[in-house]
Amino acid sequence: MALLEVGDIEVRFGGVVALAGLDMAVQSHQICALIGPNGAGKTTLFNVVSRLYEPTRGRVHFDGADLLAVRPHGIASRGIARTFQNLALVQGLSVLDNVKVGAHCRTRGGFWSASLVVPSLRSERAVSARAMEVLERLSLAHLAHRPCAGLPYGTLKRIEIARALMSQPRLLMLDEPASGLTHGEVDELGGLIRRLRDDLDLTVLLVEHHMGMVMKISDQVVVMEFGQKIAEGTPDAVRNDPQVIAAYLGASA
Amino acid sequence: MTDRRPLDVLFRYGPVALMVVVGLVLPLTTSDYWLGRILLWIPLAIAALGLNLLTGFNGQISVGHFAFYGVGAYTCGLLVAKWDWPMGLAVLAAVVVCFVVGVVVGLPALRIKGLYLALVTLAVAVLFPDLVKHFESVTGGSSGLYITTPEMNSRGVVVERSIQILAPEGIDLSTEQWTFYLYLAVAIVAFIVVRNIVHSRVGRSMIAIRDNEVAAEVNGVNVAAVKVFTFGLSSALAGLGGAMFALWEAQLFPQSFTLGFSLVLLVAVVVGGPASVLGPALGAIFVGVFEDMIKPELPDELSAVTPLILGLSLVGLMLVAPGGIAGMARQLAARVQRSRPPAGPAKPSGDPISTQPSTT
Ligand SMILES: Nc1ncnc2c1ncn2[C@@H]1O[C@H](COP(=O)(O)OP(=O)(O)OP(=O)(O)O)[C@@H](O)[C@H]1O
Ligand SMILES: [Mg+2]
Repeated sequence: MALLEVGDIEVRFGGVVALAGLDMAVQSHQICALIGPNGAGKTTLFNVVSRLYEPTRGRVHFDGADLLAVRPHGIASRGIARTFQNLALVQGLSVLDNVKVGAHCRTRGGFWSASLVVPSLRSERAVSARAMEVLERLSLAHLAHRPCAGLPYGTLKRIEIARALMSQPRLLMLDEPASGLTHGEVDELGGLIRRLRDDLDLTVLLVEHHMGMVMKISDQVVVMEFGQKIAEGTPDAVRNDPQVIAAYLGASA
Repeated sequence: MTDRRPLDVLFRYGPVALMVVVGLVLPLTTSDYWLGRILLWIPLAIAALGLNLLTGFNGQISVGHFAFYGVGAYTCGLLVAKWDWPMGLAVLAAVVVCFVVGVVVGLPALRIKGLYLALVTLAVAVLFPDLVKHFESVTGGSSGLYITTPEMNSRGVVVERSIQILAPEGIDLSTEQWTFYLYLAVAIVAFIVVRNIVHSRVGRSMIAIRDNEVAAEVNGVNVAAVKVFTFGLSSALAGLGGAMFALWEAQLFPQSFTLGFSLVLLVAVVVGGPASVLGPALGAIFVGVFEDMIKPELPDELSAVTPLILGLSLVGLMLVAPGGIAGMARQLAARVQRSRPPAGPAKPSGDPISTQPSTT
């Protein structure tokens, strides 16, 4: 069953057509990779699903429901979490607090409980404990009380994954999680993504330029160029698709 | 990080403890004249606390925050003077009114940002004294609002007397001493509430919005609601300060709430340390010492250029310590802690107070 389904999506920035009638679907429990040359519109698609960009045309359905009717801050509670290509961490918060921000949509507690401490303390502790579990899962626990500033790029990307997991998502969208990693680390990350998918029952939409990892861990690969889908299929099928080789792999592989 | 060493505890709670102790001892060792002036630093600190929540923690700039102080002062003053409300209730009403006014002023902040928001708040600051003058029949205009209550004198004639905050029967404190303790208690509660908020889910949302609005939104934070709410809360705190000011002064003039004072409040926040909970208190003391103790001592030629002096020292401080006094103290604490040999066997470093510069 398709968990995420986008149909005929068009996004324009002035004269630039970033997505030109894109159709694609992500099946439940799969790792679906979205690849394509720079400027193909991959990040733009993420931003459409996150409701940060308003498409000029098209549909987005998540688990059967119309996402375009949801406000941006309502996306997380629907079960969609993401990381950012260029990092979107909160500089002024510690690693732990950054991760706790991810639990926002799964927790309650406003001004009154916050100012009176006592009732909020228990839920605070629960969130902290869960955040520590997630950090441990991503081998980041030792950094919990550090500020984000000054940590290596690859670590920061992992912190974003931790934050995304805090919202207990069904769909996890990762925008180039392997950038800035060494070869060994990329392998590790690939294993981690698979484990997360299996352990947490996730569906993963993965944008990645690192072809080795994409081909190794994906169930399905969607290839984009100029805002459109030009091919899709299993890693093997895509690898041998002449159109893909011409458009993309031919240049880099 | 649970086993805190004594020095860590000292750095964490020392400044607060010191300020509370000084606050408790001060009224017993200071003349009533000075106490009457110094106790007005407390409302200023509360207003700065509110502004810091907005600007320091939420990243919304208000250069006209003293207007809310004025709204609080006049609301409280009018309720007591014209409708004989009890003081405590009038203060509460002022807080509520300022919350609502803050929300209304904060609404445009959803569409406009940074400099443009600063301009809106600037307009509010410029407009407020004029509004007070315009509605002269209610506010007394330039000739002032005298907060009085009817009282029977010794000859049985009812006369209007300036309100006074009197110590309850049996407590042997002067008006100044009693008011100081009362205001100190209010301030302590206000600071604790803000501290709790800053370290809560709401506080994390505020900081997330300040540093990365997209990240906040994607994680489910209703950015618009938090921004408007923070504006309201910040204004409510300024209004609380204003109401306390009104009750102590017992007379209000529009020229006490001009743009210049808004800028002084901003100076208090910046000097004290933006995004530090205790910073506004330090900043208010700094401003208070300057305005009440240093400025009157300056020769005439110099006192004309005090805004310049204040401005220059602000620029200087920002160059030396962008985190304000609180930031400076934190750096010092971090340095002392680093230079200490580790106690006991290898233990993970990273005390929250020295590693989270902008949340403590
Ligand atoms: N906010 C924006 N304003 C203007 N143009 C934009 C904006 N976002 C994306 N674009 C344009 O849309 C096109 C698609 O960009 P997008 O970032 O989606 O590409 P991408 O596939 O993620 O590329 P990369 O692999 O380099 O990350 C590009 O031409 C880009 O310049
Ligand atoms: Mg991209």
